[in-house]
This record gives sequence, C-alpha cells and structure tokens, in this order.
Amino acid sequence: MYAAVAGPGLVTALAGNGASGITTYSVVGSRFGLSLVWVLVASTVSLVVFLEMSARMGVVTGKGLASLIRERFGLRLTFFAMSVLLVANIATTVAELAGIAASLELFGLSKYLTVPAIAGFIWVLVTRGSFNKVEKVFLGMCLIQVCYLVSGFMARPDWAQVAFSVVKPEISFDTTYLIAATAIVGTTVAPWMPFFVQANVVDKGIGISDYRYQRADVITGTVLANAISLFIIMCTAFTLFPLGRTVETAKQAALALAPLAGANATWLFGLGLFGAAVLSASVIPVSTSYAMCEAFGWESGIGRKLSMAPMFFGVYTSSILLGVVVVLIPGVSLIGIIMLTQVLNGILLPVILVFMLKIVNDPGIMGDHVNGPVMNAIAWVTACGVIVTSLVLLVTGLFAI
Amino acid sequence: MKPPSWGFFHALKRGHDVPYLSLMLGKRISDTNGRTVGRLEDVVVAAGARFPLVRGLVARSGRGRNRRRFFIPWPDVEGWSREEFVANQVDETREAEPGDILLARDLLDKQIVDMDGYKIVRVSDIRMARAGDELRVLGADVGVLSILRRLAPGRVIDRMFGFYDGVLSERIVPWNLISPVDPIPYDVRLNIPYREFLAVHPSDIADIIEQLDVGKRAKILALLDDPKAAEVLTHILPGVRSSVAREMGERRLSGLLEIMPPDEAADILGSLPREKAVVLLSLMGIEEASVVTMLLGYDPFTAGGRMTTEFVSIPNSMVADQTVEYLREVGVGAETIYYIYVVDGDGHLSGVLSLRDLLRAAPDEVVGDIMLHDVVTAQVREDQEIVAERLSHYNLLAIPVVDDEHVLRGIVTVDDAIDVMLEEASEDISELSGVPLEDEMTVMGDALDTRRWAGTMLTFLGGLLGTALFGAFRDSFAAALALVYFIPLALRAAHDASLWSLAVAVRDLGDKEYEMSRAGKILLREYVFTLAAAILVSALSFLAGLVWTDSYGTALAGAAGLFVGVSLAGMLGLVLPMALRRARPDPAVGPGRLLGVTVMTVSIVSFLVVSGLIVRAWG
Repeated sequence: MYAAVAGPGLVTALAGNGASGITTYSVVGSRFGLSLVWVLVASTVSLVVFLEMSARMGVVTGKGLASLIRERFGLRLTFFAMSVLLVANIATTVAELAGIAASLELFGLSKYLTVPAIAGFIWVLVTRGSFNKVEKVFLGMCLIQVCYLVSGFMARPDWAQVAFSVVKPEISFDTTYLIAATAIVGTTVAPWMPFFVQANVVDKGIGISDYRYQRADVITGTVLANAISLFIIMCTAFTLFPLGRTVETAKQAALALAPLAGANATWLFGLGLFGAAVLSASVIPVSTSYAMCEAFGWESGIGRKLSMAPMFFGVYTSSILLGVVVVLIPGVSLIGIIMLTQVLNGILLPVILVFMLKIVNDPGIMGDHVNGPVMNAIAWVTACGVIVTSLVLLVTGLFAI
Repeated sequence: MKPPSWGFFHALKRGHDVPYLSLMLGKRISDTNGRTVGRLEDVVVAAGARFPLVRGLVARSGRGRNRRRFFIPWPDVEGWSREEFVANQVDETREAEPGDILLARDLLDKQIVDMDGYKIVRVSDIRMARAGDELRVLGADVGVLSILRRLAPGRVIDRMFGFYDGVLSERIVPWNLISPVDPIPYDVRLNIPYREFLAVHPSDIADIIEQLDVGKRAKILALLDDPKAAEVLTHILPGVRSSVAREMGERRLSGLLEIMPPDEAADILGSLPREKAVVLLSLMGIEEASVVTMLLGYDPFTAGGRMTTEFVSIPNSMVADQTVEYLREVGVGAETIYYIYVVDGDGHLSGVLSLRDLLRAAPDEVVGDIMLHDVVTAQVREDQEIVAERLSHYNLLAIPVVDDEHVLRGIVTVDDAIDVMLEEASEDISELSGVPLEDEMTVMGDALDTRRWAGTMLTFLGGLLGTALFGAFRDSFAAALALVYFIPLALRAAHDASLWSLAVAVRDLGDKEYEMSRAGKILLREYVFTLAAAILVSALSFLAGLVWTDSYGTALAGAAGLFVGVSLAGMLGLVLPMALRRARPDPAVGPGRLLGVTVMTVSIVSFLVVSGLIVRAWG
C-alpha cells in the first residue's frame, strides 16, 4: 500500500529542492555560514504542516486547492489568490530555467542555445504527455543531491556547532540577512507545492482510510529532501564561508562538493543542478495551468488537444516563454535571478497560507478533519513570521533609500 | 414610497443593468421608509421548474454575534434599482424552506458538466430576466465576460461593457438543462436532467466520460446502475478505460466485470496492474472468474483474445426438440443463437447447426445427423485479422475458436470482426501516412496539434541537411555549373517516384499481414515499372540537357544522375514503409514524412555523386 501512494511527497520534495533550492542554500551557506540554518529547520516544520494540510484537504474533499478557494471565497478573492500564485510560479519557472542555463554553462554551453532548446524539449514532452517516460532520468540526476550528504560528512563538520546554530540562532536585522532568510522560506515552502500535492492526492482518489500512508509519504519525502538542503548549507558553510567567498557563479557553488569529488566537483554539481532544474521546470508550469483552469472553470488536461483547452496551454506556454525571455536577457546574473525570485516567493507565500488555513479550519468543508491547535499554531506562526519579515524588509529597504 | 426613478424599465435600457446575480448580491435592502434593513445575501428559487421564478430574497443584517439571516418572500418586494431592493414588510424571523435552491450558495462558483461539448465549466454568474412583476432565472453564465463583470467594480463595468458590447458575448447554459438537485456526488452537475441522462445511449455516455478529467470519470459511472455502467464501460476507449477502472472501487468494478461479456472483462483486467487484477478476480464469482482467467491467457490480438465464451453448445446426442427448449433457456446470455455448436463428451467441436437447420428438422431428429460436419474454425492463437477475413470470406455471423486439441473455446462474432477490421485499417493508414492514430480523424485539420510541429521540424531539419549536402558537393558544381539545371527535376521526379511506390505499397501490402515471398513478387513487379519510368525521364532530360547546355558530357552526367536518383527513390518508397511497419514507430515521424526527407537526401546525394563523377571523367 505504501508503494501505491508514495510519490507526490517525494517528487514534490525533490522538485522543490530544484535548481532554485540548491542555489539559494549554496549562496546562503557561503554568505552567512550556519547562522541561517535555524530558518531552514523552522521552514521544514512548516512545510510538513502545510503539505499535510493540503493532502488532507485533497483526501477529504476530493477537490483541488484552487477549486476549494473558488468555492469558499468567490471569484474576486480567487482572482487575487490566483494572481499571487501565477506571479510566484512564473518566478519559480524563471529560476529553474536560470538553473538550466547555469548548470549547462558549467559545461561550456551558451545559454542562448541551451535554454530555448531545453524549454522547447520540455514543452513538447509535457504537452505530448510523454514526460513520464523520461522523468526517471531527471529524478535519477536529482539523486546526485545525495552527494551533499557524503561531502558534508567528509568536510568533518563540527556537529556541536551545527546543533548550536539551530538551538541558539544569531538573529540579525541586517537587510541582507532578512533577504536571505526570506529566500530560504520562499524556496523551502514554495507556493506551488500545496497545489501540486493536493492535485496529486485527488488524482489518485485516495480515501480517508488510506490517508495515513499518504501522510507518511508527505512527511518522509519532505524531511528527506530538507535533510539534503541542510547539508547543502553545511557544505558551503564549511568550504566557502571561511574563505569569505560568497557564491556568485555556479562554478563557485560547485566547490561545496570538492571534499568528495575533488576536481570532478564541477560536473557532478552541474549534472545534479541540471536534473533538478529540468524536473522542476517541467512540473511547475503544468501545475500552474491546472490550478488556473480549475479556479476559473476552463478546460484543462495534458491529454487534450491545444484547440480544446486553449487557456490551459496558453498559461502553460506563456509561463515557459516568459521564463525563457527573462533568462536570456544579456548579462543578467543567473544566481542573482534565482535569489530574487525566491525572495519574491517568500513574500507571496503568506497569502496562499492564509487561504489554506481558512479552508482547512472550515468545518463545513473539512468536517471532523479540521486542523488541531498545534498545527494551527505552527501554521499561523509561519505566516505571521514571513509577513513580519517582509514588512521589516520593506521598512529597512525604505530607510536604505 | 420612493419616486419611480429607480424603475426597472429604466434600468433595463442599459446592458449592464441586466439582472445578473453577481450585480445583485450585497445590495442594500430597505423598507418603504428608506430605512436599511439588511443586505442581499442570496436569491431563492423553487426547485424543479423549467425557468423558475424567484421566490424570495435572503437578507443578512447585523455583524458578528448579532448577524441574522432572514427570508423576504417575493410578493413583499416592491421593486428594485441598481442600488437597492425595497421591501414593504420585513419579518426577521422568517427562513427559506429547506427544499429551495439558494442560487449563490448552491450554484454560483460551482462546476457543471456542459454536455454540449462535454466539458466541465464553472458557473461564473446566474442570468435572470424580468417577466411582468416577476423575476425568472434563465440560466448559468459560464463565459469569460461574466468573470470580468464580477472582478471589475461598478464604474469600470460601465466603460468596459460599452466597449466590449458585442465583442464578448455571454455564454448561458439554460436553466432547464441544469439540474442542481441531482444525486450527483461532489460538485459535478450535469446540464441535463438526471433522468434524461440515464436515457442517453451507453456509447454516448462513454464518449462523455472520455472527455472528462481524471477523477471525474468514475463519478459519472457511479450514477448508473450496474447493467448500464457495465455496458458504458465496454464502450469506453481502451486507454481511457483502464484509467477509469483504476479510479473505481474494487467491489463495484468486480461486480461490473461479472455481468459484462467475459472477453470485455478480460480486456479490462489485462490492462490493470497485476495486484489489482488479482484482487478483482478474487472478488468475482468463481464461474465468471475462471472464464476470464482463461481468456486472459491469450494474446489480445489473436482469436483467443477476441473471442467470447458466451456461445451455445450441445452434445451430439440431443434431439431437435430438446435443442429448441435448451435454446429458450440459455439463449438470453449468449452472444449469438444463430449457430449452435455440437461437441462430443470431451468438448471437441464436431459440428455446427444453424438456427434455420434446427427449425426445419423434425422434432425427434438427432442433431448429430442433421449438423454440418465441415466447420470453418479459427485457432486460438491465430491473428485476429486473418480470423476476421475468414469470417467475411465465408459470410458467417460467428466463427468457432478451437484450441490445439480441437476443443471449442469460444466464438468470434461478426461485430468483433468489424471492430478488428476498423482498427487494423486505421492503424495501417496511420502508420503509412504519418498521421497519428486518434479516436477521431479530425486531427488532420488541427493546426495546433503538437505532433504536427514535431513532423514539421523533421522536414525542416531534412531541408537543412539537403542544403548542407549541396555545400559538400560544391566541387561538382564548379566543374559543370549547368548541373544545377537538373536539380529541381531530379528532386521532383524522385519524390513522385517514391510517392507512387508508397501508394502501391499501401494498396497492395498495407492492409494485410503479408507473406514475404508474395511481398517480394509485388515489389519486383513495381520496381520494373519504376525503372522504366526512370529511364524515360532520364532520356527526356538528356535531350533537354543537350538543348540547355550544348554539351554531351553535362547532359549525360545530368541524365545518369537523375536515373540513379529516381530509381533509388522508387525503391525507398516500396521498402521504407514495410521496414517501418515492422518497427512500429511513432506515426508522427512515420513513413510519409520520413520518406520525404530520406528520398530527398538520397536523391540529392546520388545525383551529385553520379553526375559529379561523370563530369570529372569526361574532363
């Protein structure tokens, strides 16, 4: 039974650790050492809570998150929520395409060539419904992320120091620190994830009696992927942070794997980054179009012909196209784009969270399966924490000007 | 009383004053003294009417703990304007009746199945119309305009509607086609009444189900009773069917499998994951399960895979009268009763009796004496196409299927044979023409189909390759620039030759699983024709070349290159489709397109090589 429901949690987690995740964690680790590890740990707890909530909503109602939002909040608020989701998802798509560009530049390939080609490749495969045939290849590449675990141990970290940094975090109100914290939250708990998990659960038609397996999948997948995230931060914190070198290019980020792979670190990193980026870049735009069509009642579905589901393919195609255009801007910093989009994700996240919390606590929708007090507390603390951080960012940003 | 300036007549003059539910919700409700008593929360209509009258309004007043909802019957509503409703008496304790439909609560933002085009749409608004003093519901607006209307605040609507009037039209699903009180689970509603839906032919319901999203399909099936659901399931396309089966509960599905023809049940089980199939078989009755298990053992494309086990068989000792009686008993469950198969004690097929023979026989005649001994049969492992042809050749309604020991295992009926022929024919056309196999062939005209673009890219890449080849052979051109004259001719002639061969290959070989020796003969015959054509074209172009270039050498080189190119192209047209047939490639890059690109490449290369060599040899 476990095998039958396994999947959404793990895929979401691995895709969630996409190029944007790898990059964000690398940058943060190299710039701030271990001082932001606590944010990652806190985000992981929140992510588990939120994905569990969406899986539960899917099982109980048999509907997608977008559907629930529309039916609970009416058209105007749905429009607002969907706009937020659209912006966040396009930003993430941009980040993943930037990840493709950055990873292939490690092998000396120009982004002007690779990004349109790979984007076209993904577009065709996904619209033809044959992406699942090659999905495993990219999933396999994602497993390269496990190398961080090995590399992390080989770097002989001071575990006491790691534990200490979680228990007694050094909190700072420095703008760059807040930006980095928001980016970590935004990349760990991305707005698209609950939509994706819930859609998956609904598709499988899992009943409430089998729900515990689904929950196990969500929790293990999330924890596993975020353990890797922790090691990415650690690896960069121990290799790059002491040198005072902030990651500005993918080549530098690759150095975190040097304790394990030595001179081969670059291609190992490049391959892992590429797989993660392609996987996420193919998952996120489709998930976006599904949510949009669900919310507004447009025909959707990968198996459809383009003329039958014009809005579905329209949203899908234009989010990829927009991503390509942004990434191809000459001279733009790929790492910079990725960080920026993750900060944006972090700022937009609370909107989606509040919608989810409202629905999951509505007994008219969830019956006996509304949130318990602990879950609500964690969820609201996350939402408020991010909102406050965003506001502080805004204020300090204004003062800086 | 307020002055009549807010009269509805006035309001109706403007398009945006059409009574849409979204424009009404939240409006002030006041009494005749102009005092606000609440805001409009919902509109109540009676269930079941064709275009129901509005029975009243639900108003809300107060905030927080003091919030109250109450019902205002329509006769108490004096009138309404763009700003407010006016009620002449308000009883804050009245409530709507439980059976009533509250438009905003029950319908707005919910999903309905639009049977016209079979898609799921969302109700973005409810359109009403004035009828005398009454207000009637016309239907659900599912158009894009209604989304815009609800998003944009008042003044913007004025502008927008003035501007877009006529550009974006509303899309109304009439109320009489919506049945919001259907016993349909979740939020899927049909826009035809439930009772009428039940009357729709199973194969049409199957069409609808094929169009629905994953997750919604099984829900439609859940509405039908078992016999109907089983029949619908047999009509759904195989690919969709297995996913529907996966969505269904095991107990229901096994119940349906039990009552549908065993061959269909076997098809469905065969397409499911092993564990699920085993569970389903274990839930089925022993008798049905054993038949299905037997059928599952056969390759789906053989007689065994196609056959049904629901035939009538009798021992050869029976007399005619008994047989008729027996037919009366078992005939209901059998696929056909026109043939009665006669078997010996071990189940070996010994003869066949037609219904006509039986009716003509004397009541006490033994069937062994009147039956036909020389039965046309099919082997369980025989290819379905060959079996279908045999059926058609002998003009049979059904053909018995026997195993290696000549034991009767099942029958393939003529309707199965028609299915086989249709499938094989469209498969052949698809493979040979490069147009993907679809449930419908409209895909040919679908410019947005992604597969078409894949094919176009192939053509484009082929074109690039051709250009690159010209570059590689530029030395030959340098030697005799006049060769360029021949290139359009060479390409054109080669292409025609290959298309001709392709057509022949489709006509003579495409629709059958041919034998190699026979295919060889056909190939040889066709190739002689191709060669003759190539010689003719080359000879003519040699003459033309003489006139153009005034040089024997160049004309000869051009004609020889042309000959080789055309004869190779003709051969490709014959061989390539057959080779690809074996390989079963993706139809999008199938012979049609691949042939074009290959023929072009081959003819250019051979033309350039041959003519280049001759030009050089001639000096």
